[in-house]
Amino acid sequence: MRGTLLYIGQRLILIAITTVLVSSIVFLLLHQIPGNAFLNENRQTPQALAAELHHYGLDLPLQQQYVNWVQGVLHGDLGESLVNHGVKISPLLIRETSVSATVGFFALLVTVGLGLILGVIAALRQNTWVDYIASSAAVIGYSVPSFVIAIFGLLIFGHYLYVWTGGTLFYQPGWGKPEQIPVPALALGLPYASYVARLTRASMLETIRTDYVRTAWAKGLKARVVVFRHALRNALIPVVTILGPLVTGIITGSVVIENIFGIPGLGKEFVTSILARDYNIVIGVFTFYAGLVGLANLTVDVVYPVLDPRIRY
Amino acid sequence: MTRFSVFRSLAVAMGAISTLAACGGGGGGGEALAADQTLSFPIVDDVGDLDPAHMSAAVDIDIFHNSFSGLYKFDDALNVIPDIASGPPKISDDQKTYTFSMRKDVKFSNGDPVKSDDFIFSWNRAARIQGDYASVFQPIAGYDAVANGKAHDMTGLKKIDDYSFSATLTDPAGYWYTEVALWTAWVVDQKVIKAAGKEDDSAWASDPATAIGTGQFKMTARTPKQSIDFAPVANWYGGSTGTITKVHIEIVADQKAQLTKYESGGYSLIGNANQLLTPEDVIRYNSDPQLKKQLTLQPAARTTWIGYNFCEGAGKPSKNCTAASPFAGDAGKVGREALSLAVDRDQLVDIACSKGIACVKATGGVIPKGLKGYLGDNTDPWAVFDKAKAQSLFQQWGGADKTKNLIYTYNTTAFNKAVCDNLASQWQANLGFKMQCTGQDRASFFKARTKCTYPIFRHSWSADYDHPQDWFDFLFVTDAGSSGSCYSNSQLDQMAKTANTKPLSQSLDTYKAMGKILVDNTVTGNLVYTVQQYVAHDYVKGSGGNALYDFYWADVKILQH
Amino acid sequence: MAQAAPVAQPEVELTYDMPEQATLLSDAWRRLRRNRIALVGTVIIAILFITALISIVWTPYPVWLQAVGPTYQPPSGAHPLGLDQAGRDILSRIMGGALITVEVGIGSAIIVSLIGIPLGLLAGFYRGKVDTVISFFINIWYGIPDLLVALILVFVLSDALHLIPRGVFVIIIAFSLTRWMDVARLVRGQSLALREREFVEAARMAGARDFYLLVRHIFPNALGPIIVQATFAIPAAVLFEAFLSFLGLGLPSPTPSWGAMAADGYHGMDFAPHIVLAPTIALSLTLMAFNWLGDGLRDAFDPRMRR
Repeated sequence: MRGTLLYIGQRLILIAITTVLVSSIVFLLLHQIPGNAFLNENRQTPQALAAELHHYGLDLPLQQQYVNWVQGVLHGDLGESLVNHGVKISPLLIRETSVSATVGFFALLVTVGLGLILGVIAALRQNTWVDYIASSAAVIGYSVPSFVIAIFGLLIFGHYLYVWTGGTLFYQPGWGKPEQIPVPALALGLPYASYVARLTRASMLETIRTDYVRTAWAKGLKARVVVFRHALRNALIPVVTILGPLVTGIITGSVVIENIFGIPGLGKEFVTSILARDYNIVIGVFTFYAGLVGLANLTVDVVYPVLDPRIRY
Repeated sequence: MTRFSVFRSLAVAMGAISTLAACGGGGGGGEALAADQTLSFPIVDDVGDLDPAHMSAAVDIDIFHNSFSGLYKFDDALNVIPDIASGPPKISDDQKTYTFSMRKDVKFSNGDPVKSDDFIFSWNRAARIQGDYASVFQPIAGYDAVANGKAHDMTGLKKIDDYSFSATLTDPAGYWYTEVALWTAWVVDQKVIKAAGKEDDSAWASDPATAIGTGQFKMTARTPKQSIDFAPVANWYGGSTGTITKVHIEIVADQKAQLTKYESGGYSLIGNANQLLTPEDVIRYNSDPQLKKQLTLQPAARTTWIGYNFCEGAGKPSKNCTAASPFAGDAGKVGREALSLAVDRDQLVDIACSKGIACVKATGGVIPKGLKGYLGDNTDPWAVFDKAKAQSLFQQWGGADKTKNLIYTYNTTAFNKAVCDNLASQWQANLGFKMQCTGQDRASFFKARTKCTYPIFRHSWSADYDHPQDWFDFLFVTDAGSSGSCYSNSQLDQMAKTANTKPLSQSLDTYKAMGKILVDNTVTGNLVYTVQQYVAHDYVKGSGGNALYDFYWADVKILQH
Repeated sequence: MAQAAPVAQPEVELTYDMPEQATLLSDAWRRLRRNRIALVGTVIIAILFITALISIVWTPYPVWLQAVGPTYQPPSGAHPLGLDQAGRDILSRIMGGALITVEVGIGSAIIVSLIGIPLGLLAGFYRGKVDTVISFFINIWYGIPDLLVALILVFVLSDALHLIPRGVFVIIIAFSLTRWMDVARLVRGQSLALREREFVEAARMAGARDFYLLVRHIFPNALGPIIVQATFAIPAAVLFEAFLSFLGLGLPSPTPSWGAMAADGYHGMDFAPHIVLAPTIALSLTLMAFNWLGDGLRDAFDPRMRR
């Protein structure tokens, strides 16, 4: 137990370091950009420009800016938006992360749930037409870009089935109604469900083919149930190993999905701030992403030995 | 019953039913209001500035002109009318001193009374802060010292009594009475601002508790990048604030998502605060007879044109110039004409303006139709399509060489991209040269354009007020701040100087002559005048806008539906 | 006794039927041929390449020419895939997009391999400090959403620093800089395993130098998985470009990238679905084809896989 806690502690520090490192890189990259984020169409005077630069601390030398920024990050302060004056970034991103995390969580459920089901079915009915269909569906799943799935989702649910759903499936003022989650979660999770399906299928096949399983299977229903549960648990292991990349993939996919469905989350913020050259927010979003991925990987590494007792750190 | 009597009974019954319906609240004068009087609409980007001294984006202004106000405002025909002022200003004989008198009953939304001190404070504050439109106060004596941070207040502003004050200008400025109706001159509550922090800070404007103005509505909630809410001011000094009980604005970046929410009843309208529909949705709404009833098209005060660079060499004619542009001078005039003649604006408008709905051909000069200074339909001889003439002029200019590696730069919006793509396609098809279209982000684009960096570029201007001075002083006089072309014409400068001092009734002809000079010299390749689109449900009455702003929320009614 | 004349012995061909040399590649090829889905994928890829090549010299209409007909026109005789929102022929633009896809895909696969293979070989072969450093970088990269870093790279290199103009090249660079570690990790594993094999020992004892060992012994034996990885890099790169174009950060207009076409057509989806369907289907088919081929190659090269 103590060993585990120590390990988790070490990993948390590593995550913190990686987060700061990654966002430092982004910070330096963006701050090298000549010019600045201000200037309006018509009439900004030099005095106004100087005042704005001073307000954001952009008139300081780069090292000083970096130091100030790192200090801010360690206190949880990611600064102020360059475009929407007066908007503090940290509370904004925290709010948006909770929105993204909600959709992302359900997307993960879709991914793992659907993937497991498809994989198990394909494994149990190996080499039959069911297997081929499930496997092909899996390939289609990760070949078709997520924004394509989102587009078709919109077409179907927002347009063709609109008569039945009245658009209530997700188009409601504000954010917070449960109906708003299913379609985006589906569009987000579907592409990665295929990876899970393939892994599950392969792993289940491996387990099923072993002699002792074959024997147990032949013994009858009760034994079969036990065997099935055991095989499923073994199948989960490789799925857990790819949980890190899965989370990363869902984060990446959310960038497009949130834009398409109008979800006020982190992905939408990322694109908006890049297009608007709001560098402070871009750096802030990146910091969050780096932290999120790190935490996801850590969760994986903690959960993994629970599933597979052979692993010890 | 006989057939006849059946029909008669039916007819009587129908008559009875329709009478009932009429009384029940269908037609006639008695339109029943819906129980929920919430006005909701989406915007694509969150507001940038909430402090009137900083504001410059149309989104911000259109929204907050419901919660702030000033001495004057524009009516639906863009004429200047009194708001807090009790009448037009008294102007001295030398045209330099304006005396403003205010109403005595004006109160802020928190009940604080509004006095002339508040106006003087607000105007000086705006001049100090040097937001994008602080130049509204530039004609006032003492402005320069304040703008440079050397003085706290403008010497030209003097209090006369609690409800009147005077502004003395350095030189006569015929356009200033119009300018004073702009948002930078709105009044803000100095008590609240000073209590919230430093008087020149803006944090007070983002917090509903301290965002105090004299408008009919006040901000009640704000979730950055997500939503803004307003409610009517109880006991508003001016009387009724209309029937709307709540205004809910959502920030939804995707226009398609916006429209789908609108169509399922989630929004009352789309179009407020300078929002647009996607081109396809505009076409769809305009071609369906049922949907067309929800669509209102309003000519906006914006022109888009091809910007040419007039730099003749390093430092000539403007210090920003670094190299000679192929379009400069008399030699370049041939090129400008060729390029302008080679554009079939009907095709451009069909493709880039949703089949001619979202904008129309600009045939009357750079100031759009509907604004003072418009030259008249079809008065621009270079805004026509003449392929043969274009080709011969192009040859004459030596276009093949001059357009090698030509890049047309624009700030990235869907419309600008569509325009550039079409221009490139037409020039390649009609004149045979390849042009690259490059999109830039807004900030970098404006910065580089102001420095006259681009040889050919997208330019556009939306009038801030209905006065030609707004166009010439910022775009076409020598070293105009928003030019991007470094155009310099001393005759034009001289005419501008004289015209600016006179009231518009005397100077309009001069401005028109100036406009003609621009057209004759193909200073701009005028392309289109923008048309603003509003979609509103048929149960939403009183929405829409004039060429510059939306109508006030207090005018909106939501009927039963 | 009479002496018998010597009987002519029939000529007997002393031949020994050698079984056909079973090299790794020929083995794999044989297995691949039998995989029908992979063959379908290969056919689609072949069509893609041919279309891309043809588009260099000819398309029914110029890909940039607008107002060829009425905007949004659905498919018709003259325009089998219809016209887009600017009146451009979609079929011609799909052909042009095939070329872009090929450029981005193949280019990325090449650059990614050029970066990843040497690094992986070195890390696995030398182990020790070299391995630690390279593995450290690989692990760091895995801690971030790489596509988003690549997005920022494109933006920084092109729009902000103006180092590389917007185009296929910057996309290839950005992608490769964030995905090389897949190849590197794989090659490192191969290198680690192969360096222990006897033929490497033997060659080393015969005096072969490191470079020779790497290039002539280890690399060819790792080729199988490398080819598989490169094949999978192609759809990832194409997807990345489509993703960028869809967000408006991709190739400059009016380049007919399929992602950009989908982004253009997406808003008019219910109004003129043919505009978004054509590039979307093309994109999906291409990605599927490469994935099928990649799967087939992986099965073909893996001696343990059995049907």
